[in-house]
Amino acid sequence: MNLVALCLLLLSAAPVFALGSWRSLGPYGGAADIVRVIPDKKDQVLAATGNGLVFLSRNGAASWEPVAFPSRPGAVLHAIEVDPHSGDTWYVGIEAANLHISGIYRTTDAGRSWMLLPQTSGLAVWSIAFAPSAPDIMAAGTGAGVYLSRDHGATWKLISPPGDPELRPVVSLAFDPANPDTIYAGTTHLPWKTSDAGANWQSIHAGMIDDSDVFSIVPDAKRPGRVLASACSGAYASADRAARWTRLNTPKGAFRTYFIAIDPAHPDTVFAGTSDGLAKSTTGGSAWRMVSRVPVKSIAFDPFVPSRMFFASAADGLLVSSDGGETLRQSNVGFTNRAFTSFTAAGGFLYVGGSSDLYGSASMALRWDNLGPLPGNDHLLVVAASPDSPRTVFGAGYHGLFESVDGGKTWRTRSGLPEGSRSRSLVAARGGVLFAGTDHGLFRSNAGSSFTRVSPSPVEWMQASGRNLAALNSSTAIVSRNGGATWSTCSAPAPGVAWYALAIDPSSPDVALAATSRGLYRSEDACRAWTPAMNGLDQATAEAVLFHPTRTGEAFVAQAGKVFLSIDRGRNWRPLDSTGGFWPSSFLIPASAPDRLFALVPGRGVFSTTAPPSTAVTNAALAK
Amino acid sequence: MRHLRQQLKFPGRRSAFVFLLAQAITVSAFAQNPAPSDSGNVAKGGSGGGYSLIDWGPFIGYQWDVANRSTPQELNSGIYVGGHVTENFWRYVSLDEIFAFANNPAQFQPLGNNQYASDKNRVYDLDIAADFFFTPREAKVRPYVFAGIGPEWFKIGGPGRIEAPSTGPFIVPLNVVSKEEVALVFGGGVKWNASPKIAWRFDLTTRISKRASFGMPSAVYTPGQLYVPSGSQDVMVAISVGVDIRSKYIAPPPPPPPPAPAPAPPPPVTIQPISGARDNVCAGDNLTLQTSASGGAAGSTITYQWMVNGQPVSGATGQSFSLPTSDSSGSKEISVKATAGDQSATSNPVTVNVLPLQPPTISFNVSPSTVDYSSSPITLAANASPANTCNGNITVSYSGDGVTGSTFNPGAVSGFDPSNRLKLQSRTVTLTATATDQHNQTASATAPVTVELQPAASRTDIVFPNRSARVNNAAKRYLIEILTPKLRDDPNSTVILIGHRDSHETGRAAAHLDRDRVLNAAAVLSAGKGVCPSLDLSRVQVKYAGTDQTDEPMPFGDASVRERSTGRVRANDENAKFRRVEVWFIPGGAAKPDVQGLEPAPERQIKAKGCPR
Repeated sequence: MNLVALCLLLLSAAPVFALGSWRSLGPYGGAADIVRVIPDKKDQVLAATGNGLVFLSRNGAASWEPVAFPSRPGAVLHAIEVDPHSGDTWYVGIEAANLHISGIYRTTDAGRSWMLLPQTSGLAVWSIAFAPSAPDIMAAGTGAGVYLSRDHGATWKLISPPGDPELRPVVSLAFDPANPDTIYAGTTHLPWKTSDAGANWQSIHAGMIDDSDVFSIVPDAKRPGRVLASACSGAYASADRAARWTRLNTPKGAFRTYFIAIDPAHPDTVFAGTSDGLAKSTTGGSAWRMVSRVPVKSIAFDPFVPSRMFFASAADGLLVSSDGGETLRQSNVGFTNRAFTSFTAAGGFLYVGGSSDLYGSASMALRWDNLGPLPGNDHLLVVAASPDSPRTVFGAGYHGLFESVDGGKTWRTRSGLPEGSRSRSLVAARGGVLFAGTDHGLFRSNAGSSFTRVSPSPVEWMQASGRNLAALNSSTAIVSRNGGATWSTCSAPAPGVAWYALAIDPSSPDVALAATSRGLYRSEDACRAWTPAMNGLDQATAEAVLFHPTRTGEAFVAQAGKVFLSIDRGRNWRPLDSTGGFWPSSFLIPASAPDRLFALVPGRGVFSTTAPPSTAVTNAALAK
Repeated sequence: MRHLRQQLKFPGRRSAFVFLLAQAITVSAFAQNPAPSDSGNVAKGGSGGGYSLIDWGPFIGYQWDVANRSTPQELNSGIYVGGHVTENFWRYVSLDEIFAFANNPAQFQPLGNNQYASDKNRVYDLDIAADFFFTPREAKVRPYVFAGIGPEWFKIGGPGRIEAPSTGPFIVPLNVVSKEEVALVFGGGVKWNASPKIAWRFDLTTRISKRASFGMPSAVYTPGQLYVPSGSQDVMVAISVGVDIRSKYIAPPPPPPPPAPAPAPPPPVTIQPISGARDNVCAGDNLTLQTSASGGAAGSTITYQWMVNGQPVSGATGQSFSLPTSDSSGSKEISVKATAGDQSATSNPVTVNVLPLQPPTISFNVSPSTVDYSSSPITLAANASPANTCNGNITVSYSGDGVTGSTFNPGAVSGFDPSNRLKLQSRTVTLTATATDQHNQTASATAPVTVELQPAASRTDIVFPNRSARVNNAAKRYLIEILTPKLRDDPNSTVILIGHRDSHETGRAAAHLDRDRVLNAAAVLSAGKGVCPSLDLSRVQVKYAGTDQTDEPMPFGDASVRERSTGRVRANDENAKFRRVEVWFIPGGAAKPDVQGLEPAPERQIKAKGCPR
């Protein structure tokens, strides 16, 4: 292992942060939307994603830990701001189809607890700003216009004309540094301004390209009257408080400009984050050069270290520059926002994939290699590794099924599935057997031969446990207890429930656990009859379930944001830890690491925890 | 004493004995005299006046010999004088020492002569008598009787002084001597205590003694001899008036200070009815009862003792009483006794019913009991009722996942996977309604609510300028900044694009606007270069609806996507909403909308568009 690899290994082995007892293993990176520094706390940086993940770094972005923000289904996080007067107070703007969860969420304890500000409930919040000259005044840009609070968010008042079709949605917002009555509001259709706290509004688009979607507006704190703006049409500057704009000569092609920002340590240095990369000007915006081709969407300047700044990018996660923005490097340890959909393990190798690339680890997730997409840039959605040969990997995307024998470096097509069918799940069994669950049914291939249909029902999910196999879609489940030679249909646990996972006890194949929309069910007669498994569990959807491959009677289930453990074949359960907000879609216990339980959390990557030996857990403990 | 004896010439030992005995009795009586201030006797007396212990004084009167008229010897009446010393040692009895002297010449009728010879005779009496008064000594007027004894000395003049009768034979006796007899004295009279110093007395005294013979024989035979027949008596009756000097006056006790009008009996203790009582009071509540009392002896302190059900309450000795209500419930009869000195009064009892504290009752359900995750918040309304009046004002609070105040927001329930990849999620939460009364008694009821989350397809319309298929910035904002991240985060999600054109967009150039608009929108989503993301077109289905507007357009001005009101689309352009592409986002777990005529996205045509500006 060379020095670089060693450094990477050591870096990746740096303390990663845990969700309760679960350790985040990556693969790190992904889509980040916003980054903010906490002005009174050295080295503390906040990052947020559009799908509602919030992370905190306490070491200048060297690593990140998740913040327990109550993200809700269907919610979009558009804004996060730190109260300039209280580093523990943060505000998050949410838009959701369910209006009742839209609004501004506030924490006053650095993210431990959150509250939806009552008067913002129902508002689709796109932007938040604080008045630099008036500590109690803040504004929110919403789908209905501009709201103002003069009491630190306790009460809010609409200050833009009600029902005005033009002045919304307000996707960017800024106060004049010296005058809290002057507010700049950027919409998807050009910017607006009020000089009298909302009594009157003027469109301030003179000089701005028609139909500009204004992503940000930045009044210059050190040059009164100077205002910068970034839009889908480029970057702009005004010297007369936005009465008229001049388009800045940003590099060609870099026209969709997500932000424009003035380096507080260097007033003539301006950064513009574009869809083409990061542009920098040291002449106040008159001349520019691209310093990075990574499309960045947000920037934060370190108040304690003038040359350090942080970036959020749509594809590369979080980046840090320590040289005044000349060079950027990824810094994502602990930060994951990737749409992982599948993982597998074989012979000490761990593979995870979803939405784009395949990631592989030969060190049980200590370090990940990006193995790239499937052929034709197909997104790798499902992956399976052969237990016979850990470097034999099967991957399925939108357009086909592929096989790699070198751990994902190269691929070949595995044909034989019906035209247009899409594999949604794969199980590689011993002897080169491959099962493909597709929307056209379940297929089996023996040692590279063609596929034969085993079952006509569409298959969305499969899991193997020794010679036991389970395959299901939301309404039907089939099982095989002889390595897939024969299959039988399970009866439904209850009328109208949706199947999500099915686990068969390897030591007692008649015992099965079904994770369904209505909770966990248990069968002792080869899934003919089911009873709800309620001892220690909620009456809530269970979405993943697994029997330990070697420890008799030990099982795990994911329910309502927690993982539970049973040591008596699913009769009684207890929380594996007390942390909530953890939604694994599947579990994995590699044969090479029977003491470790891996979980794949969509969007957040691979986690692991120690699965304590069942001798350490007694029935008495379960009964508590 | 010798002088007195000589003066009186007590003739014999008998008389001396009698006199000494009388003196002894007097001294003895005086010695035994109750204290001069015999307030007891005075107190028992009827007059209320004083009295003197010793009265003394002279008297004068006239004495007759009533027994010997026309007998050979008789005494003539004569002046009667004397003096008393009276000891008023008792209230109704006094001891009287009387010294009297009367001039009662004696007449003797010689034998055979019918004339009398006379001689001077003085009768001296020294009596001691007991006076028996009919009124007490304090009285002003005191009638009395008396009786006593004492010597009576007849002192005759002697032979040389006898006057012969005027005629007849008379032989001068050779022996005429004075005689002493013991006389029994008795009589009566009235004494008038005129003043504390003077008293008058009027006496009628009778003395009976043996006739004094004067030494004369009792029978003679020679005419002219004097003789005194034996066997006869001298009965001397005297009537006298005297004045007494009252000494050793015992003044009447000062009138008992007008029994300070016999201290009007102290007013009785009166006690006011108990105030502050209520018919019903709740256990643990404060109830202060009060009373006040007056009366009793002046200067006495009124004390109180409160009683509950007849039993005194220890320490409850003031005008106010806090009735214990925490110890037990039920009916309590309270009274209070006020005491002042030896007087007391007890109030009429009041009855207070202590009601036990009982928690209120509450029933609670949520309807419907299964709600959609995106449904509106539900106002919770439990039904709380009092168990008794002690509950007072009952407040109801609610708790449970998703509860804020009295509202249940299904969208705020935790435990739902936010990834939207699952077809259906459900969670049953238990909401609790707690009723709390004014005594902090609580009762709770629970209601289960099942929240279901089914990801649903959502639609946003993007609008286009008239006769144009250009995807404007507003649409790009939606497709690139909002839709693309959703598609990225949910790899199993899909998109449906349905293109429309307005019926006013006529002509050949406009004939395929519906299709062109779809292709451009798909290109923005999938081009994978410039600003355009790289959505896999296998996830996109399309439809060209032409001028068919059966799917109701979103109103222009909707919060989703809007065209700027200048340039090519004006705010008053009512047809802008028809120039649209319906953009459907179908999460991986959601069902597809019921749209007929969908086709796979034409990849080649879309890719030919590149990344539309």
